[in-house]
Amino acid sequence: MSVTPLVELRGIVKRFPNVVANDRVDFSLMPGEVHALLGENAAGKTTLMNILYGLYQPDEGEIYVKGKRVRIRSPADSIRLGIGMVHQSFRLIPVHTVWENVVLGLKEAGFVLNRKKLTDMVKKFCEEYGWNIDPNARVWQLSVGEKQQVELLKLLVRRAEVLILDEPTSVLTPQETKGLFKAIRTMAKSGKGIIFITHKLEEALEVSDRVTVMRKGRVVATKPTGEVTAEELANLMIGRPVLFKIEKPEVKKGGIVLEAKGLKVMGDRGVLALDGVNLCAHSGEIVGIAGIAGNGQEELMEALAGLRRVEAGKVFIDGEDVTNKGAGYLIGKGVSYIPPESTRWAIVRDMRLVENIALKFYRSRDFSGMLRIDWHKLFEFSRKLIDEYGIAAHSPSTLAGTLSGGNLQRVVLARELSATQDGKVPRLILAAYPTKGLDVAATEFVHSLLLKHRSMGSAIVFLSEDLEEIMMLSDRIVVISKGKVVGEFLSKEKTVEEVGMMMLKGSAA
Amino acid sequence: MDKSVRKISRREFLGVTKAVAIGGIVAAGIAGGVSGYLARTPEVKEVTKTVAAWPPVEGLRPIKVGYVYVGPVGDYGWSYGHDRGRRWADERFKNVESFYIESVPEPEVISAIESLVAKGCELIITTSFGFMDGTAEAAGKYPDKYFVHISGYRSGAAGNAPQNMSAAFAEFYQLYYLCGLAAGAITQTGVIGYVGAYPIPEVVRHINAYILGAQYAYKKRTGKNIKAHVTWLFSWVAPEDARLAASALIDDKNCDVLNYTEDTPAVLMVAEDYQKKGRKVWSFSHYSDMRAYGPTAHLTGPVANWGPIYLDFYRMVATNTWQSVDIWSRVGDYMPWRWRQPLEKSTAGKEEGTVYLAPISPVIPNEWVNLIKQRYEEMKEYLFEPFTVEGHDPDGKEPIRDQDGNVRIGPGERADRGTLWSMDWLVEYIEEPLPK
Amino acid sequence: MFMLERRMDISRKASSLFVLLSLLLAFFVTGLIFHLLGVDVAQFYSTICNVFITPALLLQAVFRSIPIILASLGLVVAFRMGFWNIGAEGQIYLGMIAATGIVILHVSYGAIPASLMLVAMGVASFLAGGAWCLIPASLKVRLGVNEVLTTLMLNYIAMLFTDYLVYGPWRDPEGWGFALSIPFPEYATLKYCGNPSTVGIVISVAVAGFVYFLFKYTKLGFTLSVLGKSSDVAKYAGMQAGRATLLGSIISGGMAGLGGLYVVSGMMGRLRPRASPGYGYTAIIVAMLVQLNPWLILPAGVFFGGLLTAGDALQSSLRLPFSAITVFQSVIFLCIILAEFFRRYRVVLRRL
Repeated sequence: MSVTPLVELRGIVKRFPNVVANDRVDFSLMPGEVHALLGENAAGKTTLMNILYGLYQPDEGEIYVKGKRVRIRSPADSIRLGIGMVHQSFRLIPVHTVWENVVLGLKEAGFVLNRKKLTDMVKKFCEEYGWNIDPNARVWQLSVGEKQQVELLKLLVRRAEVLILDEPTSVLTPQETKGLFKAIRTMAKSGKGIIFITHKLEEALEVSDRVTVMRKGRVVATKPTGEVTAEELANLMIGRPVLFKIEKPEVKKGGIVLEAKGLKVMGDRGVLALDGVNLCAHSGEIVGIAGIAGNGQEELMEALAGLRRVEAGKVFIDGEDVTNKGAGYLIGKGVSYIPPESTRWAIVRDMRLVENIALKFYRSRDFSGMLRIDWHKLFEFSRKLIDEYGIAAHSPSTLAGTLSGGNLQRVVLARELSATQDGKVPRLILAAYPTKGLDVAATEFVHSLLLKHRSMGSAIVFLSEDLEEIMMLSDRIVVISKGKVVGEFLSKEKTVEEVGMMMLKGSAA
Repeated sequence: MDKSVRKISRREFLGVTKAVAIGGIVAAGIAGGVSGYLARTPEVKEVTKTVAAWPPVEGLRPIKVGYVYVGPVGDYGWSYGHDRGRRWADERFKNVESFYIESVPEPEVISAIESLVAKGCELIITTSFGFMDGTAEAAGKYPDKYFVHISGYRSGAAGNAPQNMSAAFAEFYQLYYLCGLAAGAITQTGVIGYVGAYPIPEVVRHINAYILGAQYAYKKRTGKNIKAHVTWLFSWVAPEDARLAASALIDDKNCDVLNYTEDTPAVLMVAEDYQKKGRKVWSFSHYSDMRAYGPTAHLTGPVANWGPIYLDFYRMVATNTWQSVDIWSRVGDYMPWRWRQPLEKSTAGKEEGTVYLAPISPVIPNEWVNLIKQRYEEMKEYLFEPFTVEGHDPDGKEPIRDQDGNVRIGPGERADRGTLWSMDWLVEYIEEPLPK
Repeated sequence: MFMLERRMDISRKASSLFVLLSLLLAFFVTGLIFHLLGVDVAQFYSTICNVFITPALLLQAVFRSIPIILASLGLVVAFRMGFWNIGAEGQIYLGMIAATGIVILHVSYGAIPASLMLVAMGVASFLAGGAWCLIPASLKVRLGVNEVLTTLMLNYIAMLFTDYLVYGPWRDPEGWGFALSIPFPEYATLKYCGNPSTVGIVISVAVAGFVYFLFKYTKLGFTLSVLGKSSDVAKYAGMQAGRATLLGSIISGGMAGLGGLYVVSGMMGRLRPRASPGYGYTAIIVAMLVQLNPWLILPAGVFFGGLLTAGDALQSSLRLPFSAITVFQSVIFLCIILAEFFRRYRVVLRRL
């Protein structure tokens, strides 16, 4: 018996500047099926679903809904086709009531709202799924889990047959997660198809009927859940050894530059992102931080760079207590930071290159007096960096926004890695995903720069999504899971597979 | 002119500093506590102009006149009143070309005047108090042009401006008194209200005159004292606020006759709304005949025609007989005759001169209409003045007292222009104190 | 299907070309409207142009534009640092209050020598305007309160506080009870230094030069620019965003305060309630019009003053109502917004 898939994607290609987010992706969803879409961050899961939801247009490929070829131009189109999506960040109006949020934009509600009828409808759905929400409650009064239920209600009321849930458990407590899974099963039983986007293995195994694993924009496997093991999935997700080998000269490890003791730091959602992390880095040493995305690595980097408040614990640079001294102070101490999403954090797009380079130098004696900035000198300095780092810009007065992402990354590197005013090398380099989105040549350039600084005596703390890269580049590796250090070892002591399991399981294997 | 300076007291100093501090102003603190009170009261030069008969204005040499208005010309209100006066004067003078510039901000009056001078105007009339200094400055700058400023106190005649500058004002307090008589005659609750623009002497004397009239009539009718309430808007044009204030006076304070100084018919319209709902509430015209806005609720009201004043200045300029004057035009001024008419021929409620009553409503009992007419006619010949014991008390005994009980005007006294122009007290029947 | 595409490469030249084109368009559209209303369009245009070529009229235009220019320059500082100061009007009032306060202090106590009066008044109005702007800035820095609301609300407080002073303790005892302060003595007015328009130009050019220098060469200016373009990056670069915001707000409000000084000391010669007819709001438009370029504020401000002056002439010559000028101004704004849109986006025809 062949059943027509609810949704079928064939050969979807989506290119963004500098990166292919989806590369010939095939995907299908059957009625009554829970299909987990598994992959690391930036593997292309969300892009794919945004295409299905009509937020993006694919550059190539075809979409079929119930066997019919369709073109989805906007979310309105997809809703008409019975496809609904719950985003990671909720799209609710906090000051309005539950039923108002649910019926907002609903055609059947009519022009004059029949409050009684609509609240009853909301109640009916709630009973069906065992949810306990008062339709007249204001949304801001609800817990996160309940808000998610309201989002689901919106889709159910619109009779969506395909529900896309983007990382739905990332904001939930374990109990709420259980409730969600129960609701998902109930929905599937009634013939709906559910696409469950996640990067958590156990969840995919627990709730889904089928798993599709994506890596670097491609589908690497689609299998019935019953036929795979956690180890298999982990290997698929993290990938096989790759590409190139790095010539790593021996460098004599120097004294301790960075020492962090018992760091506790809050994440953006107000929950503890780091829970008592200890970390140290020596001069001439590269320390790689390994972990599944979202386990506290970025918060750790920000805390070390002085950009995130340290709630408890201490940070020392060269023996000096610099806890919560602020980014400006740390810059003065010779701490460089290459943040993730450098175009948001480290580059002002509508300023010139010279000004972007000046960001960290304009305060130094070399480039300014009491009041005045010596732009002439900075201009010359920028010109030198543009040559040195191979930045494709004809002049320091080029607007940063006109450069490509890879070039901007070079600008950030140039600023962060170049010798500071007094000819000093940065003492500590914090590099978060410095090679993300770069091609092979550029990646090698970054690697060589980091190794150069290692031999010049900088301490380097390094974050990457590519475990392979971490293993090759680092002298020492620290594995972080759920805000805690779960393993620390020299890079030659373990294999990629062992480290991968450690990352996924959250404990030393 | 000697400027003897009185140092301010420490308490005054602290009072102001405190207010400033509450505002949270750092630098105004530097300036804080700087209320300099100069001791001397300025002396009054009375140059009231009386025109006994119309001098001919036809066949005079052509002139160009420029007007500066503070607001838009619009359908009613202050600037509209002046523009009506302009057209009135133009129509009669014939050989005149007049220009106006509306909505001129106070600091920019000089600029507007210069535009009019460039246009060739030899007589320039500025019609808002805030234009006073600018007009005086322009008068100094253009000694061969003539300037008239409305509602201020600077003129060549008063000695505080160049000789080519005159001042003029159409005075309403007598008419407000007559409105008061109407209010006292018709009120059932014995409580009347006033919606005031700003607590400045002009408005204060209008309020007092209105309340005195009402007290006179009400006392004579019932033997009881009138009660009055005043609400301040702190704006000349604020129809919404006026509406709210009027409703509050009616609903909360039980007022049933409302007068006002606000440039729109808002208060009259509120009274009309209450009439439609079956509650007897009355109000008045202001500056122009506004009966259309409240056909039922309208009693009478003060109306101004600036035309005769303007025409007089046209004539002076065209006949080269300019002299600086400080005109304070009241009932009886700018009329062909300055004598009273017998009751049956009274012109009260008809257009004449510069200030007159809007048509008197027939709902006012006849005996009171007659009294209004009689007083109106008497005022033409200065036989009667509102700010006197006779104007206040039907028995002609009780002096006029302020809210603190001090006697302000005793038997045999009449408030002179100086008293009226610097009036800073309210009569005793008003409940709310005067904001200082 | 038509699509909009963001332009990445906007040269300064193209930018100013767009503004000029939008002005021309505005002239054309207004002419068309008035032509349809039966107005002599040739005379309409010549009256407006006349203002800008006749020295006396141009001086008038300058006279009326100085408070706008000064407040606008202050807003350049605020807007460049991403502080949406809608409160220039209130800061102007504080400048007026402080200047008047100094005069009263001098007249009642003789506290300040006459020769220093203008300097003292300048300092006081700058500080007062700055302090008034510092209130919303510190609320923003400390408590994260949105400055758009606070600056706007403080306008009303400042205006009513002026009312209070002029109707209350600062009322001129020789003013027949009218609401005005004592007249400023000659040496406390800008006339003391020369023609108020000329003095105004000198002050404006100096202030514009200061703003230019601030952003072009100084560390504070650079910090403010980065802060305005991306507060995330400013934080990342270790800039003291809070301190810079407070300093910038003082400068911003202070300049509006100087505008207030000009109103009382250059234009009115004393303090009056509601003395500003909305200079602080017009300043917002001027600042946006020139895309926060301090030098261009000067001609743009004079252009606005010129429009008002032309308005006077249009009323007297063509007997157009004042609202004709309002129509003209509104058309200009619409055209500028349109130009801004096309400056940022390009319309492309694309098949999906």
